[in-house]
Amino acid sequence: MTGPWVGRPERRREDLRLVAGHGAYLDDLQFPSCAHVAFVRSPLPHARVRGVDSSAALATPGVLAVITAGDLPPGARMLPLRTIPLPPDFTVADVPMPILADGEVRFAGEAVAAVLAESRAVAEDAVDLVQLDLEALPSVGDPRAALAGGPPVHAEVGDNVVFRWHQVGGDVEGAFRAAARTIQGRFSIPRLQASPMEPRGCVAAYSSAEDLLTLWCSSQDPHRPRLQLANVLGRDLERVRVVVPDVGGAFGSKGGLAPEHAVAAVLAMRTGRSVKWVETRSENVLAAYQGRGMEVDAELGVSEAGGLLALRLRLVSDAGAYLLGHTAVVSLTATSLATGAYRIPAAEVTVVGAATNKVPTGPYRGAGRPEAAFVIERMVDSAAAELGIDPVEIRRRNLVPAGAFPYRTALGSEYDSGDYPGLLDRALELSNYPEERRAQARARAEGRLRGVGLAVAVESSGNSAWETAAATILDDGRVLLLPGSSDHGQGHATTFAQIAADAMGVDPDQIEVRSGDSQEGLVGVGTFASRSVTVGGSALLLALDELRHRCLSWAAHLLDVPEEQLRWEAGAVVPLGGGPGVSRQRLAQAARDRSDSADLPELRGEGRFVLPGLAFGSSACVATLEVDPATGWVEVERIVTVDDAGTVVNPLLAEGQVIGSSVQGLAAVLFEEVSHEADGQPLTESFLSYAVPTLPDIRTEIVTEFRPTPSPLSPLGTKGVAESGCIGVPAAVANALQDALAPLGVRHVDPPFSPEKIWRLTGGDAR
Amino acid sequence: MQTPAPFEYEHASSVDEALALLERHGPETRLVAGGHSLLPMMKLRLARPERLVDVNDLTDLAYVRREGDQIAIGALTRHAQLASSPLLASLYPIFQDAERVIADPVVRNRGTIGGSLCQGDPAEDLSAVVATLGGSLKIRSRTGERVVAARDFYLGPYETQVGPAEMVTEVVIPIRPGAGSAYEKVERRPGDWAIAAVGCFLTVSGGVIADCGIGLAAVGAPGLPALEAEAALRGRPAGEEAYAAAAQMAAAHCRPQTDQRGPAEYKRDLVAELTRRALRRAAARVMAGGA
Repeated sequence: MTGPWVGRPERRREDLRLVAGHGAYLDDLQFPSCAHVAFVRSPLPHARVRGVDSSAALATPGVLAVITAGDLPPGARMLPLRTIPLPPDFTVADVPMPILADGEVRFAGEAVAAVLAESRAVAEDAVDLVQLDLEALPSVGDPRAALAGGPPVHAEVGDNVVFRWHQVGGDVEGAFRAAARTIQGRFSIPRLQASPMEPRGCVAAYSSAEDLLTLWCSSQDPHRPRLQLANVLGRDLERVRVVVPDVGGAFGSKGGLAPEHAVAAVLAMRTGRSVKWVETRSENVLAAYQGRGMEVDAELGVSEAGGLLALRLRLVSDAGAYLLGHTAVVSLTATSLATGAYRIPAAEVTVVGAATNKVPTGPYRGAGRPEAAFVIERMVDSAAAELGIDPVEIRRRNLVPAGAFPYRTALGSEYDSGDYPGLLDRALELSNYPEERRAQARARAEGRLRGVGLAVAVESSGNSAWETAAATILDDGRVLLLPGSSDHGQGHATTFAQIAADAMGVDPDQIEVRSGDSQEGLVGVGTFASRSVTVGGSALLLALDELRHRCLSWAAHLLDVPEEQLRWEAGAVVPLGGGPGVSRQRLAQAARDRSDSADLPELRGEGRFVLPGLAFGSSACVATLEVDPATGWVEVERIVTVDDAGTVVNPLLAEGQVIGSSVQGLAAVLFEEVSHEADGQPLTESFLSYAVPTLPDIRTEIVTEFRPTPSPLSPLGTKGVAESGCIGVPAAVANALQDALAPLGVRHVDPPFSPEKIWRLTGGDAR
Repeated sequence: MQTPAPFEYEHASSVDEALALLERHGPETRLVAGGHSLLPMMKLRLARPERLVDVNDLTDLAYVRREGDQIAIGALTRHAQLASSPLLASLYPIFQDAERVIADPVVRNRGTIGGSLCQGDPAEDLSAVVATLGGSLKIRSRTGERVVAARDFYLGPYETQVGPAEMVTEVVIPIRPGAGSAYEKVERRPGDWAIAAVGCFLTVSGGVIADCGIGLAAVGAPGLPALEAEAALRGRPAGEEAYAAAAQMAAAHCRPQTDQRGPAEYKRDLVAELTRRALRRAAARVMAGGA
């Protein structure tokens, strides 16, 4: 579907307010008589809590309370273990995260006590005064070591296996037997942190008069924190309201209730004060869940002609000290998509979740997709190198062809639509690939290390298949949209307005978009997994259909003519035979006044859309880089990426998503890595040690283009695009690096491609 | 933590007042200018001064000017002023080279040369630049002023010659007509602390290196001069052979530590490579007329 507005590069209507400083983020919200909470966190990765002495803290003027696990209300539960469905044969250990450490701490940074004070400063002073009596226990940071007889993170899980899954599709044994060669690969994908510009935070307030607990929190949506908070505190859902204000980025890291939110809620109910928690960057680095962290062993069976016959993966996920509701699902995604964009008839995957004495992992932009793409794309390049086949050729030979959709992979994923060879061809053309290869040949002749790398990647989108939307007409005639998913940088107010403008036959400035308050609109799902436009946008169309229908009913009543003689045209109801119609303002006012129209429905449409499957976006990426062997510096000169995001509602915003995620993809392979000591003690404790790139660091030219094949799964035909660059770019850059270092005989480099690592690989330490 | 431990705060409206406050309140009093090193350390509670004396009002200490055969730089001169100074750009482009890779615009708009030098961080870039150029620092107290060579300024990491009741008021750099200079840094990302960095200047007379300076960052003491390399260069014909010799000596001279930015042997190798590159670039600037 494309209309006058869908498909137009409209400027983001959110920006003026935000860049002019008029946004209201969590910490901007002011509450009367607000108290502040700060957390006492464990300095050790594993310890028994023998005691907490809070007497000095409590004696500090301005300190209101110090609580530990024992002070939590009876019945307060741990964070829920599963919030996203897993297959029935996916086993998960019962190791949920406590709200406050109970008797034992299992990662450095875990909250043991909470201090409530009149100001954040006093709370922090008092945190300094709380004495933890900790008895150190053996601990383990490395997931492979954890599985190889490492000390148990949970006494009741002696082997440190906290989840496990095994899936086979096709005749794997037979295919490997038939294969001319088996390519081996071992990959270590480090943990990353999402590093949103605004860290986590919340304000909790309790009204005893209404028995209503309200949580304002910096989250990806209000719905999941609301469900989880009700669950943790054992409250009726109706007695919990969650409001999400402007959010300064999340990238997957704010997809639910943080334990600190629950503590703030407990303190608010206990003291009657509104309670604010805004974490510091140090806290975010220590205690916010992290992404990636996967160790993969892969085998790829190939024919002599370069046919991909079978894939076998064993994935060890660094789960961390506890399972969050969405820890395990990342591994499910990473392995479900293991065969990538290729037609591989047989595949076997094994997932093992390893408990480690580190902060838990969860989704981070891409959430399993980048890991899957990284492994298969590296494996395909290794196969090409071993067989002496050009990396383009081996891909052309094995990509799922354009005529094969819907395509069911060996592992059971159903790809709805796409044209992977077409994407690859266009990316090669756009990058002037033959010239890139000539430039490489010239560089090599001069002794320079230059590489070109390819990746073709899929992006499953639309997880948790349903979403809601409501729509109504305001008194001034503007259409108010209440989408179930909420914005935290995606530009919903802009894109949803474009979709609604076409559906209603009005200009986008006649559309108002509001979201983030669980008391407005319908219960929805939220913004993650590149799902908002595809699932939420479709729900919006359903809501607007109903709204238009009700407008006709009201107009029929007002004009006293049968509904069949009316139609919706250009934002108003008009009689089929001509004559005066009914404006939206008049409809809204009539519906509000409701005189003599008791039997007519409210002037409101509601929609709930279920996506029948997953909509698969895809991309082809060409990366060009050069390595300075003397310093080890890797300069990625250019990224060319061609994306199939289905129908593009707003090309400007879609390109922004591709560029933004490409930069995060570059960060993931060039700069970023959360590192820990062998015992789990964190080494990256701030942005001094964790290298997040900033604007001047990204000198790479990023060229984007869209080549849509509309998805048949939704009326809009859209697919996800928001994670594209995170998925394809790391794989393409890794392949380019491999290509650059090939003359030195280097077979594989794990990210990040830090100068020191590259210097060593290029023989620096032997010079 | 985001809030420092409690401290007292005063601001000084003159150097004399600042010095009086330092003397009156004792060694747990710190001067604060840009605050981009001190305040984060206070927020992390790694530093807990009892009192801060804010010297940001001492705008008469913000200048870059020529005084005879020297450049005088006021201690309160911000990074951004150093980066945009036409005088430094024409006489010592090493300043611009370094400033381009120091932190980010926010830090460069606030951070001062006096604060950077007095912080004494071994990886700090301006310490290496001033040491390279053989600069000196004017240190004032209530009773007088003394001048300390930049190369003698540091007693160790984070430790300088500045006493508790003293402050640095000016940095002085000798002018060397026709000199070329350059700064080369390898970092994990632009604006980060150096993995290793090398600054140098050269004057060349009749194809022979007449005078030179080499300063290293992040591989030993703050502003570590590479004395043997300098000695080896003087009197030698400018060219690859001399640079290679100097590079090896600088690498042998430095004292890097293995840390998250890399192992010592990597940093040592970088010092050799960066010394070569810096000398080449400085020499090219000599040929181009000193700029």
